[in-house]
Amino acid sequence: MPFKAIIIDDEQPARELVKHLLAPYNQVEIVAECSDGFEGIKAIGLHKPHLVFLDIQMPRINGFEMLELLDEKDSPQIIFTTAYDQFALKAFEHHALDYLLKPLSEHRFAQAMEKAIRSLESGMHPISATLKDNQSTNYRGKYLERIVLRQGDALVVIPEETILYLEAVDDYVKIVTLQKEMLKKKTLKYFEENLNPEIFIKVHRSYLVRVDAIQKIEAYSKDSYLAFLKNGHKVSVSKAGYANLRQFFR
Amino acid sequence: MKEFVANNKQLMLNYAGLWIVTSTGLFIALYFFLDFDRRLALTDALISSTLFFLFASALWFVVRFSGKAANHGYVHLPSAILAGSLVVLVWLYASKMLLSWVLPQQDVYIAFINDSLAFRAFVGIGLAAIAFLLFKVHFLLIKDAETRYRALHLEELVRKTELHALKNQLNPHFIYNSLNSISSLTHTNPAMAREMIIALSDFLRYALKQDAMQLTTLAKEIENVRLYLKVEMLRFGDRLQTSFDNISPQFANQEIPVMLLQPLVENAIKHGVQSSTAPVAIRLDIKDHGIETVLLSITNNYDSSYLRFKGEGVGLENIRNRLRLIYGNGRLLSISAADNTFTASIIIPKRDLQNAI
Repeated sequence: MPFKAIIIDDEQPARELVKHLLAPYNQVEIVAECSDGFEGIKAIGLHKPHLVFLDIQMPRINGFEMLELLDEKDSPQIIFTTAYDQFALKAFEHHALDYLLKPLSEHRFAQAMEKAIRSLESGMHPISATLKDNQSTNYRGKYLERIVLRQGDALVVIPEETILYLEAVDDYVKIVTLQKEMLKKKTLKYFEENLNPEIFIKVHRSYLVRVDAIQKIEAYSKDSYLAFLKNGHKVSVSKAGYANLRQFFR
Repeated sequence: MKEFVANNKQLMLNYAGLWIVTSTGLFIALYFFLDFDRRLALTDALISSTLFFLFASALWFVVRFSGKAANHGYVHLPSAILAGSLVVLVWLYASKMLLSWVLPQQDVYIAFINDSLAFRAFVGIGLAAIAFLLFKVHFLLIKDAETRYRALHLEELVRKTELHALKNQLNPHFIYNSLNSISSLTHTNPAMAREMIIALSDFLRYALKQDAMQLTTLAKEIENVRLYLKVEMLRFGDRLQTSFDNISPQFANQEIPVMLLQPLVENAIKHGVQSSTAPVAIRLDIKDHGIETVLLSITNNYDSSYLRFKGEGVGLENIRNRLRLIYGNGRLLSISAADNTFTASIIIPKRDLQNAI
């Protein structure tokens, strides 16, 4: 049974080069070529490949965001191919099999393939290449600039600046904007660590709130408060959360 | 370092002033209050005061060295007291010796000097303290001026160096990605690969060889942007559409700083083409803007559902700085984003390049 591979890169000549370099490997069959991360998700779900060649900077969603949106049961080996050398560490944190710099070197490509084939032939189930819970998917700046979600076959992009608050709901986090509410399978801690702490404040064990969205805060009981947001929602504020807010406004 | 010298000159003037005041004070005390002979009073006042300020100048080094050694900028108190006492003791001894030598057969006066040693010591300690204070204040002023001067100078130097190195404007990832595309072409279309290598080389030659202040003609600048676009079109194919051909011949010799347009086009590619799956069109328009200026604008569409504009990047900032340096006005560049269209406009003085290169 040949190993299935998918090439995801927005530049056609770059895909062509990977295809050319893969030609000598008879045991590898290219089942799809994709020109952006979202196509990549769909192709991976459809073909269940063993190996994925992944660019980082792509239209719509980047390579890291794509990994985050993969189904947990789809866990191909990932070989990054990019002109940027500064994301190698992040890539390996995401269990990348290898990280190849453009322009691609035949020698380095062969090394990566040797590694990939050894791991695939040994029948070892590849280590899941999906994102660890605490990894930011933004590759440009320090904090998340947007959150990407899948809704069935559609992709939803929520820019950071439209988020009013986030609420922990069981295994999910509810992301609330003026227009909509969405669920994402993440921990609130993840967002606490990866959203700008100057903008989002943890006001309660289950709530992370955009400071600008708060209109007023009222005492609710002895040790709790209620924050009124500009969309009319009310959010519980704990004693510790109230202290956080006071510190912020001081 | 002008400020440094000026500060030292100020210190010397102040020090001399202190010497004059002290000499006068001593003379007044000796002549008017103690009724000594005018010659005696004048000799004592001048010698005592002069010697004191000669010796006390050593305190400057105490202030300077302890100020440099300790970051907090305070004079180490025990060493200050020690140095001050030493200066006063040496001064008392030396002035007594010198006075007995220049005033022979003045036993009464020498006896007076011996009697007034304690008082003189007291005056010396007071003067030493004043000298210390003067040095300290000057030291702090100099240090402050030096720091400010260095910061200012460094800032300017960094800015100039950055601006003059046009190669810093080049995005290395553009080069790596282009070489990757060309590498791909060597298999599929070697003739095209050679053509692209020439286009990339010509573009790099233009971009790297020149100084940031260099001016060129609009025709040459656009020719260079076309070279750049030729390479980028290899990478992006149909996703990148351009119209750079509708340039009226009247602007061919228009003066323009080198590599002014390319960063704007690169910006359009980065935020337009690289962020969208749909084709993106980049357009250059050139037209008269009043009688004395020309308006260049580069527009591109972009996919607003995936991209937000969050302030300006380094590329635009760099262009602004160059416009400030060359034309004295950074606001000649303006940007706007509306209806999924991004526009960067530059206004430059309308004039033909005199000796076209």
